Amino acid sequence: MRRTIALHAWMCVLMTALAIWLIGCAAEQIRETAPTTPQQDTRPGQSTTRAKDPPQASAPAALAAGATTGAGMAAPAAPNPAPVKPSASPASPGQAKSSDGKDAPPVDLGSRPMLIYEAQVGVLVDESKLAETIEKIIDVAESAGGYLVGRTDQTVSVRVPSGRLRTALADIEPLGTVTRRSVTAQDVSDQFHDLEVRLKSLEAVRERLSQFLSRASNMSEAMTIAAQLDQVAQQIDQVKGQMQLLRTRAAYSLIQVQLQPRPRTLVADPAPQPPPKTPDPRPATLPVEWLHRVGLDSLTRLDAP
Amino acid sequence: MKTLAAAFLAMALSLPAFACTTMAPPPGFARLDPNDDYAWRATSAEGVVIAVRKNKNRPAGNLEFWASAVRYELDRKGYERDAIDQVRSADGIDGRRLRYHTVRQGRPFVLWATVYVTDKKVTVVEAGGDAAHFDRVQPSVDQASRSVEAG
Repeated sequence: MRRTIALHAWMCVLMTALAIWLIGCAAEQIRETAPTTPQQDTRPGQSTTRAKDPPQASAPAALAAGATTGAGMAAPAAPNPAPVKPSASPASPGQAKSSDGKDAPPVDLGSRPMLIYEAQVGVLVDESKLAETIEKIIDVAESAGGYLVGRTDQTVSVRVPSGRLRTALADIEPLGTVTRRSVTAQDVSDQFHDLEVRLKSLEAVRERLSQFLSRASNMSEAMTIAAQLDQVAQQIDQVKGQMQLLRTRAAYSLIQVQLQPRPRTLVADPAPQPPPKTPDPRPATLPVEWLHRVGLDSLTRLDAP
Repeated sequence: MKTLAAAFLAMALSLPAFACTTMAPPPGFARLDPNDDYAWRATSAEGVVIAVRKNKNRPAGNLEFWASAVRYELDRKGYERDAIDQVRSADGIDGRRLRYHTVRQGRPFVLWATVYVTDKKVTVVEAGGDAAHFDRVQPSVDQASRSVEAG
């Protein structure tokens, strides 16, 4: 009886060990089949490239970070790549968290705000000097490290480094008579901050999708994840483009100059000019002929008879 | 004979009083022939001219009248007045000296017009020329304009 019980106990231990070994083999096989899936994605571009990226976190960590998706590998279509502003929902998990589950560091824009300056100047110049003045304005911009944006017959738009905006305006204004000027500053610090947060969120989503892709169990699942990776990559490119646009506009201020031909002067120059000295009008003339000959003209005419 | 004497008398009366013809030209001046305007003229080598104009006091006016008439005429012609002085001729006639300046061809010129008036005659001593040269002979010009006999 005792021998029977001991035999059964050993059998149980052996069966348990066998079961554990079988599970391990199965899991190993699953891991071996997963990398072959993205290689079958023949689409060019980022999806293939990203599918080859090595996973950055372990599977449990990825699952933990993917809590916002609502599921792990079993539901790859669940992640929503559309980010949510952290300021709007700071408690929202995932979007404001990095891949390691910690809160994303605040975006440091520095103490100075990101400002986009735009200046409009109206200048009166002689009609014959319109083209010449436009060339001079372009020269001013280029000498300040800027560049030409566009020009017409009577308008010219240039960008100059924001730090030299004032100097450039001071160089442009003497080229004619300034009729109007305005300088506006648009604070885009919040907009840039939102784009930075959105970029980090999208990059976190892309990383998780890459991890999911590496663990896809079949071809259908891998194709679905790859499609979502492609969408996220496009959104990342858009956000980066918007950020670069803001950086450029903040770094280079726009100066738009509207030239107008100076109207022909129909009135006297406002500058005070001494009136020409003219002989006094004489209402009556003395009937004395010699009196009108008094003066240097007669006196110095030595050759007169 | 009577006719000849009357003709001489008429000629003598018609001629202007040539008292100033005895006036000696200032040092450095050369006398010029008189012309229709001037009974006496002299000039320096640099073109400073002194001349005496003698005319009948018609319309009959006093010194203030003729001095004002000359001043008004020179003002009207654009001369810039510098000063008006009281002077007296060699024979004791009070007069007015009107001092002017003007610019001709970019150079400053000076003109003095000294007016003496008697019941019969108006005597105007005119002196003028390039200011740079006039200033050097100014004392001689002053002396000459006072040495005229206006009576």
